[in-house]
Amino acid sequence: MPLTLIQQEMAELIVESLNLEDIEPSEMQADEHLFGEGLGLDSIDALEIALAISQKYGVQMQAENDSVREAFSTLTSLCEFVETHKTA
Amino acid sequence: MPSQIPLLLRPLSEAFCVFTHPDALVASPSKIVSCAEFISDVQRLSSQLPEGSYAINLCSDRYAFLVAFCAVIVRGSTNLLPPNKNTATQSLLTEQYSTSYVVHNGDMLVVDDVEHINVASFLLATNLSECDDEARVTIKESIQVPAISVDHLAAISFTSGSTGRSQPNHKTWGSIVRGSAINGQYFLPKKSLVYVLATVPAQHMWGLETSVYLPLFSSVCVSSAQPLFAQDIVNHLHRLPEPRLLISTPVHLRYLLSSELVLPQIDRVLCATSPLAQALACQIEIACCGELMEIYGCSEIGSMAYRRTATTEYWTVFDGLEFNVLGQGETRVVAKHLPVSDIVLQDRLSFIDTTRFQLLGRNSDAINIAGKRGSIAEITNLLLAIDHVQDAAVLIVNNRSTDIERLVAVVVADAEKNVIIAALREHLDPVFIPKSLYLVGRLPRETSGKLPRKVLLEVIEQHTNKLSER
Repeated sequence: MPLTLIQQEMAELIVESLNLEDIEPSEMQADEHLFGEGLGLDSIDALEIALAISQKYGVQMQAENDSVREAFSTLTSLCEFVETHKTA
Repeated sequence: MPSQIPLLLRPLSEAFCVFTHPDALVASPSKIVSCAEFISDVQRLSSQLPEGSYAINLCSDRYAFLVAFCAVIVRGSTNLLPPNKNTATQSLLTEQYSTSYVVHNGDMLVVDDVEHINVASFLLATNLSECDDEARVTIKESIQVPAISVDHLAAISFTSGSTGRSQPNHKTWGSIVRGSAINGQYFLPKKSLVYVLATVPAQHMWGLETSVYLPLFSSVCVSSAQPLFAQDIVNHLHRLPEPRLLISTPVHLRYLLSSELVLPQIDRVLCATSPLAQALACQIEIACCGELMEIYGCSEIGSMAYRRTATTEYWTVFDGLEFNVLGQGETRVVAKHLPVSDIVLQDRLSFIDTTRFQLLGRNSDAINIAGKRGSIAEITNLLLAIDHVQDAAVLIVNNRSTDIERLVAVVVADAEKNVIIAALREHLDPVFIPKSLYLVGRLPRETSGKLPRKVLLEVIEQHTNKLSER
């Protein structure tokens, strides 16, 4: 399934902020796991993505009010997290 | 030294921990746990632990870790502190230490067939705060702080192995008490009670010395949290009364600053695990309106020296340690309070008087090219001092086809390669200019800030392959 516009934008943000040169944003899957298996990102990658998200959308990732581990699980959940908090 | 020392050397009424529920989905206010309540939790857990001589302590919640750590000691067993929580690591440890079990707080996978106990569930099921005030007073009065034999093997910590295989370091109760007494003099500001937040895991040597040992022997109240994101760090700091102390690493502090969030006042920031650039140290001091102390240590001994990085490049050695520079770049350290014999440091030190030294670089970093001596650390520091360079690593790579050693730099920067090389040329002999310089988005540092050579080599290999394909 092709990515939605918002997911495509998030995929670009991840690929750019982490310099994932061997991955094209359009190749990413909406429900592929970002950490562990899947893309295999680590906690410092999470910090890097969180910084990029705060700079682009003005949303601060935080583990307390929401389960941030859930938010970071896939492209879909990350987009949902940002959308919810942008309007909040 | 007496043959036994109590588990806790503090007034029992003092604040021990600011406890926030480890499960982010459970909304509950944080509460302050007293030393008496802590000891009571330790005693109750110690009678409930599985049979076994070794406990693999994987708790991520700091209060759960502390209760489990001490309950294991009271029980007469030993804590195993691995560098990660992977199921492969768990399996390896249970093979090596046959009578072991896992203690955790329910946020990770436990390998099959291994006995384990969820400390968080235990603590919440028997929560002391549920008791009425009368019951709490009775508990406080009946509390007896257990005495521990100084020779008891309290913990075995394992290094992350960036310089080789994971090495076990044995810590007896006596060496923990003595080491912590020395650390307390240097780590803590001269104030009655300090509130501590740490971004590093309790299992890691740096987190262990600060967030676990200090609350047992000094007037420290530690937060149970281990925040990663900048907003979480700020929120947890706000939850702590003043004076505050933040324990962190260069990597975490760099992201905290980049977030541009306003920090509450932090009286002191303690930073260790990899060298901190002076410019970053100055920015942190301004952002937190306090002072930043950088700590120098090694896994065998722990913390050994400190400096206020914003104002000096010289490290001052802690009491109780004897440094002997033997020439050939070799320095040995004798620590009278430790069961280990003298330790040969991986670093080259140059002393300017009996207690102060300059860190010249790691021993394995010494370079000898065309008869000229240089150091990888020196080149790395020059790179870090260049404008728009955020992070850098230099290593020697052996060319397989020509068997010639060459210097390679991997740099994170908003600058052109030729600008960086030109800046290096101003300071360095041409033989010490890296022959290849790769610009990357970030260095593959571990959470502790360490940069394993193997992983760095993989990054270089990826870049080389990509170039040859083009």
